[in-house]
Amino acid sequence: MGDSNITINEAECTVFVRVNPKVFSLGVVYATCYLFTDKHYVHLDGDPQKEITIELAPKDTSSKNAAALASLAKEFENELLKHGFYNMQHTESLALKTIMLKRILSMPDSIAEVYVGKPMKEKVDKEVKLLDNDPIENMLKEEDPSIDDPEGIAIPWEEKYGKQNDKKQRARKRSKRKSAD
Amino acid sequence: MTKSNEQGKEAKEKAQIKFSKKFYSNEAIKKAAIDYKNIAEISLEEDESTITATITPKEDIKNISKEFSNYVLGLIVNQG
Repeated sequence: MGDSNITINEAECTVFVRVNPKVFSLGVVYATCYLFTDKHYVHLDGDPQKEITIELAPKDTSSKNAAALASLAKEFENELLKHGFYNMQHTESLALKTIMLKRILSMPDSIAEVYVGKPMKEKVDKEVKLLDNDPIENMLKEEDPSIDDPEGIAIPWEEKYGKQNDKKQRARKRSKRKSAD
Repeated sequence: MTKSNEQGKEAKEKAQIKFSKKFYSNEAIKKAAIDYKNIAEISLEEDESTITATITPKEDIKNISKEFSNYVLGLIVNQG
């Protein structure tokens, strides 16, 4: 008895659900199975490349008939779909979350910790370090002229034209005149 | 149809459960066996595709092999 991907063994009070790994990733299957371990015995078998077989057996077998086992299998499939959807959303929004967190982390540490909390900030700091190895980010840093001046050629505007410098130059000129006299 | 891997069901009797290496990591099964040492004696046998755990419970525990399987799954999920 059963659907195309559901097999019910009423005598042993067990139901087998077959899942296509091309539709649901192994991570999604594990997460869904773990959710069911509270009230059911769950065992995985099959081939992660072709077909995953999940064996579900209720811990409380007092009133489990074929219909109840079938509804258990359907409930499992619904949860599988829910986890798959969450997983898809998480993957899609990951880039945006990373950009937002990078912006928060560019604030002073004390302010960033207020926004995200200290443990979260430490965790994200590690991830951002990994992101810093991004070749595009590195290229942008190299293009920024304000970063490196190994020869010491660049002179800040204030140093060259500032008021303090004028005073220094006047003082030098005076000292030269005195020495010439 | 896939058959159940559990062979023994009665408490205080030996029970066997087979874990496919494609789904269950060796480390998680060994860790679970160590965690279970106070309530059961567990021996592990390994072949090409499966790891077979033979469980001899020290106490009356119903469905110990299935509980062990759930525990291994929990370790895998929580270890990431």
